[in-house]
Amino acid sequence: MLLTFTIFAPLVGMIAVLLSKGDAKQIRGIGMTFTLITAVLCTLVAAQCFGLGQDEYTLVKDYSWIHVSSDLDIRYHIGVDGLSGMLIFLTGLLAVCAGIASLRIDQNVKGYWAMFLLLHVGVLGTFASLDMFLFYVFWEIMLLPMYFLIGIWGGPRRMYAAIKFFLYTLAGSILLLAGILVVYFTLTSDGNFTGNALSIVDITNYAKTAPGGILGSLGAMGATLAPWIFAGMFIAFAVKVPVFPFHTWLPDAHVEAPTPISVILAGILLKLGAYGMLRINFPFFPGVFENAAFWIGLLGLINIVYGAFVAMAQTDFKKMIAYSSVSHMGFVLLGFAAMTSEGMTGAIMQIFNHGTISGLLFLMVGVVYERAHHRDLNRFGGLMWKMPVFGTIASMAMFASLGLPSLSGFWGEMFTFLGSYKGGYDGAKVITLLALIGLVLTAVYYLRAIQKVLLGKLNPACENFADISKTELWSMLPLIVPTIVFGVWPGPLIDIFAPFVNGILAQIAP
Amino acid sequence: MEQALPAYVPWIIFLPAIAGLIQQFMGKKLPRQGDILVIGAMAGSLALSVAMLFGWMALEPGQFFHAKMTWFTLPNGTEFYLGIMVDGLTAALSIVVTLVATLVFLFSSAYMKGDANYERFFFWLSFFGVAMLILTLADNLLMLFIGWELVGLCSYKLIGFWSQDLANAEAAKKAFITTRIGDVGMMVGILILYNVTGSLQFDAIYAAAANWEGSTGLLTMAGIGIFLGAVGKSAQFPLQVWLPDAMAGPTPVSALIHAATMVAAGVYLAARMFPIFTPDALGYIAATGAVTAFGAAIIAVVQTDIKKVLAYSTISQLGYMMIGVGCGAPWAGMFHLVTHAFFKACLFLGSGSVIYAMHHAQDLKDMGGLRKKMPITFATFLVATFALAGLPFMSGFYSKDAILYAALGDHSYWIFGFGFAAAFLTAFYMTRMVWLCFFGEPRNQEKYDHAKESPWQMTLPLVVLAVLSIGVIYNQTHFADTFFRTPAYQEQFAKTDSNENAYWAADAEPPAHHDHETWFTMLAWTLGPAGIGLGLLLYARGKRNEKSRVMPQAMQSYAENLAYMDDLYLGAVVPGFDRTAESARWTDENIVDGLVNVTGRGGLLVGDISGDFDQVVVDGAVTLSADVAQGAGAVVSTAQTGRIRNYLAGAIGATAVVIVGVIFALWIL
Repeated sequence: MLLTFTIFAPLVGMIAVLLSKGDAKQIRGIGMTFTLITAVLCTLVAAQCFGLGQDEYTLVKDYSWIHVSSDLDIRYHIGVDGLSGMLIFLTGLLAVCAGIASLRIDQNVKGYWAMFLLLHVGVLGTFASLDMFLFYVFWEIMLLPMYFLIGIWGGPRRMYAAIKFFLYTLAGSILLLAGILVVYFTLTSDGNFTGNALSIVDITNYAKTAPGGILGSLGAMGATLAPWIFAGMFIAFAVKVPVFPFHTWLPDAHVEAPTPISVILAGILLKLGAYGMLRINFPFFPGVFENAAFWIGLLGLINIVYGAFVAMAQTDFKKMIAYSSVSHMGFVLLGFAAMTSEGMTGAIMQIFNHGTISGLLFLMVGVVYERAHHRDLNRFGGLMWKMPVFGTIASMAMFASLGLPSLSGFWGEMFTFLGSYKGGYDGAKVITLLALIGLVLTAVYYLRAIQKVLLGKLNPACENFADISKTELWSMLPLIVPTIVFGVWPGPLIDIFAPFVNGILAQIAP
Repeated sequence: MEQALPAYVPWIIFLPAIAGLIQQFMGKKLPRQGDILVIGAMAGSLALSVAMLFGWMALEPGQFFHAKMTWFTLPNGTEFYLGIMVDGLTAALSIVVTLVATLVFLFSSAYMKGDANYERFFFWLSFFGVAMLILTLADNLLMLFIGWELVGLCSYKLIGFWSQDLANAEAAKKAFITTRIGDVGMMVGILILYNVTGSLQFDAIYAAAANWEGSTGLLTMAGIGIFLGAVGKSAQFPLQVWLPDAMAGPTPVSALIHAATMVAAGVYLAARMFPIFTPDALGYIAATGAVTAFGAAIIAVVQTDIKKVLAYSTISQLGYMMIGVGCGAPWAGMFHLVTHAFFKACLFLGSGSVIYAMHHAQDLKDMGGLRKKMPITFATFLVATFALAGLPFMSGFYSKDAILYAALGDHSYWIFGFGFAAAFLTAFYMTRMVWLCFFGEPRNQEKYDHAKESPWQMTLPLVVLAVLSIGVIYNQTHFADTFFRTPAYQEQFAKTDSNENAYWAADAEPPAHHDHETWFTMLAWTLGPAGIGLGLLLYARGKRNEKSRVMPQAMQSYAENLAYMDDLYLGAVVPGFDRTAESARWTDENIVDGLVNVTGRGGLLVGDISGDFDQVVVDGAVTLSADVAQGAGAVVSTAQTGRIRNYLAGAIGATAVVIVGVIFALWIL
């Protein structure tokens, strides 16, 4: 029941918030309490995920939910393995940080906290789902609160950003739904398939043995169809990652979203795209994946280099960080494409570490915006001397993001490169070597930002800035600690998802 | 061949690490902001390094200390280690690092006294020491790379220590980015080696290189790639541009990081990876070293800032060390690394002492005649200058001699020629600087009158380093013989064509130093004095000053414009990247996103006229949000809370529609 409690604790919190007759302060108290409870539960879930076997799930619950016929049996089937356990832990971590940062929100407090908590139901549910239909439902639940959180509590162009986010993700969802339907109908009429045609576990297992893949029963048509379904699902997830050219919603959404929502967006929502690829897209179509590896690697390269170049040209601090996310998520694709243990390890480490580091970066931009009410990189200067604690944390976050060893960002990049160079597709070496350019470009835009914001003479306009408050510091600490700890000692992180990596590699690159 | 690592060796790293942490978190409460703690810890590391050196020398030739523990394991079972390996290379560098660091820390306690960020300065110094020792003691390329990047971070922070002045921040940024370009090359090398070896342990890499299975070209590429890391860090052509700017940092930093240790780490890397270099890679290394040694020496001749003269001199000398490695004599390169570390640190600290006395003036135009005011600084500076100029019986003489002889033995005659010319220029520009600084008439009477000798914390390190610049205390033969007699090196020596390598390869007694050909010995003896003589001839009569032209016009302007490299980078390369970034941004906003907007408008249109599903989700969302936008300015009230409830109902309703729709679809189809 632990997992179910974890998923629905925020929902209980949401109801409590809605029923509360208290003032803003009390509502914040209720919201924060449930956020903390959720985080504790998430940690407990993650603690269960060490030492699992390959393809093994724990905390599994499997009940019939909507039983229409023996073919159409939608189940409440949840469970976690190392990968989802790690991401649930990350969700809890970021929920606390974003929650603390949300204490400053004073417009429509009740609605805000209700949406904030509902968002976590969607996220946690998606990570825990082992039934495709359930997965899809949680996936959609996540969309709505996000839409409102940007659209109501966002910046000046919030409507544009929210609608863009919503439509873009919805378009992706439709492709995902189409894919789910095709897989479902094919399998229900496939005599060899004995499992539940909506169960992620059953389909993954079937993909290992089925001749011609899970669409094999359709014969030649299945072989033609499979790449299309793969591509459709890939696009659905790629929108979330986001993968070039589907990334343009991200800068707009980030720029308009309030700080805590940017933190969740960059820290968690982008990871859902990568998670979907690992959980559904690749294991369902291992053969197609092998053929597509080059293109996925190429997209990773484009994300890294193109994202870095665009980030370099930004004058808006937050937009620069948003594009740096585009660039850094490219490493995830590059690592996936390699089909090697190092590459997969690097990609998944990048998923986690980018979550903590980008969360930290967006909190940092929030601190500056709070004081200056603008984010123009050219209108700061010398904040290091006025706000030394902030300056230290901010430069640490940026150095972590540019991959300085001893901070966690290093490992994802290092292992992605090591693995990608070994990659199993033609052209892997060239793509990897080209991606190395990203190392320099990243250093360029971060060091420029440090120089413009933190160094030089104190800009007179920043004369009155106070150093970060205790609350702001507390919102950052849960992210600073793992950035340093996993930077120095990446072992536990690798250990938790190692069985998953072995499992998926056995699936896609036997 | 491995011997168990003595238990005290890891403490060489732990001591300064613990001191740095205590100082960082409690510095404000400690007396003198904890500087004594940091200095003491480094002195402790020095003592342990000395013990380690003697411990290692007591081993049989070819043996080394090694210990490792698993750091983490990849899912496929590949293990990565935290390990320490102590062979001659490590023992030598760790003495250099801890000794120079201790002296520089002591020096800084006076030089930086009263600085508003004194505490932060000592923290970064301490951090640097730790990172440099990780780099030195590592038994694998991954740890070395980590130390490598961390010393880069410390260098960045310390160059920009006074970054209220944007020029200093600029210099720091330039240093970090330029070295990072070199690191890309190093990554290429690491990737190739890992791909073949499946490990980043030095012993595994040596073994893989010795029995290389891929093409030779690939191994050459790996070697040159690794070496490019050293090109960045050691400021070799064409990435040398950052080091002169790095002089923006406080002078003790220049002495420690940008003269004695971090920049020399590139040479250490090249020497450490020596067994993997193919002849082509070695040729590339030697050529880079020769071009750098000579090119930078010319530029040093026209510099007017005493720290800039020393900076170009450092670049030039690092080039020398690279010649040594490239010509198959890493022991000669390492020997020069050691001697250079001491005399160049002495020169930098000496210049720091002068700058301190001159109240932070560092241009030669304000100096002159200082020998009377600062006798200790002057005497030690002179000794170190003699060492750098390569006067007989001084340390630089022996190490430079070893490198030139190796170039000759390698039949690299043009490299020998470049090194030869650079040695002459070195003696010349040092004489010029010493004369303009310490001799003649004071050129800025006011500053001269205020100048006085520096306190003992500053003069003591100068004296120690000056003593270490005297050559007879080094036993060159011993250095070369024992320091590199591990099997991996011997195997590589056997392959390279050099005067003495045959001896090293075969455990034989090496030839004594005076066995060199007579003409070579005579040349070596006269090179330094000749350069000094020319310098005296030109400057001692007092008719020339720091601005006088000393070379043909074309050469003079080439040198004054720093070989046009900065113009190239700042005029073409950097703007090129910026323009690319700008066009990427334009493309993203207008083309990629433009397409999205067009599609989006079309989609909305379809949404309006199509069925319920679209109306509820798409249009409904738009309407609801528009409501909110209108009411955004309103005060929070119960009415609004009610409205939120409506939105929520809308949201849940929409979700329900989706769910029902999907079930319906599944059921119908």
